[in-house]
Amino acid sequence: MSKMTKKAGSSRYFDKDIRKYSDEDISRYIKEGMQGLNLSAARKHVLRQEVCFEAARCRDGIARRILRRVNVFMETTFEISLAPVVTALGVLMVGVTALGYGYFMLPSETHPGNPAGYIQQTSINPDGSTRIMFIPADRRG
Amino acid sequence: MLNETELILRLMSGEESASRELVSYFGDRLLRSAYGITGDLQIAEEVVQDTFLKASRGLNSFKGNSSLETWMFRIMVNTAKNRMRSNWIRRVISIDHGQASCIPAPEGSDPEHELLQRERRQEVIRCLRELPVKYREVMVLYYLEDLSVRQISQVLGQPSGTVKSRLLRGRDRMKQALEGREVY
Repeated sequence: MSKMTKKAGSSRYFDKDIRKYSDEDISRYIKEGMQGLNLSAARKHVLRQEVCFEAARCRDGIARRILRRVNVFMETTFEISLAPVVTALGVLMVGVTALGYGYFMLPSETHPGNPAGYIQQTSINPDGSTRIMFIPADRRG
Repeated sequence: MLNETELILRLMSGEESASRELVSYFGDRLLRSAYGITGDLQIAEEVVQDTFLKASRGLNSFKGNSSLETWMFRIMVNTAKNRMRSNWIRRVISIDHGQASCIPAPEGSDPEHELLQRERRQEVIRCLRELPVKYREVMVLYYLEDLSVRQISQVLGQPSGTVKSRLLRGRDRMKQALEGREVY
């Protein structure tokens, strides 16, 4: 009679009936069952290559991530520092232009006592040049 | 003894020997556990592959709060459970019950011994598959991998008490499953 008992289904390959035992026997039952189950050499080779490749990508990823963060920082700094200034200048220019509108009453050259009305438009260009225009609006006589 | 910190640093620095060491140390263990949990060798191999890929990609995120072993097994268990949740995977499992017999025999091995071993393996897998996954994963990690209750609790993200009770119930159910088997 071989060492293995054949009286009960799942325990037939073991010395004793597994049902009668506890932790060690269950552990042995499972371990012996899984014995010899290994990854093939080819599969391990592929896995090693994949791990190497992914770890390298991960390493590159760190460099890329740092670079991206620097870029984001630069862009953010640039946008934050310049955009509000440009916007503010734009608002200011519109404000100056708007404020530059005025209405002037000037004495008529030809008809004293009949003043002439001019709309004054002052515009300041982004290059700093200023233009003041007087548009005739009311010229009597 | 595996120096985990050193291994991770070597992996990060692109040392090929480190990847070889990682696969050698965890490959077979992960395969056996994944097979025990999924009950399907092909899926187990895919789970192992996914585990290594995820671990390699997430090396940066490994904070060292747990051991590398616990971390690897956590990835494996989660991957295995995700695969089993898929309908497609379920269908494959239900169709093919005899996949363990497809495991190629190593060269130079005794065919009779190999056949016996395959039968044993199928038997264990059949027995494990009768358990719900929550018991199966605990049983595999505890009895096959010899992880402590604390380690299993870290792997599964469950309190130690839950792990203990699952172990207890898993063992009882396994005994019931064994008792329910037909007599040869």
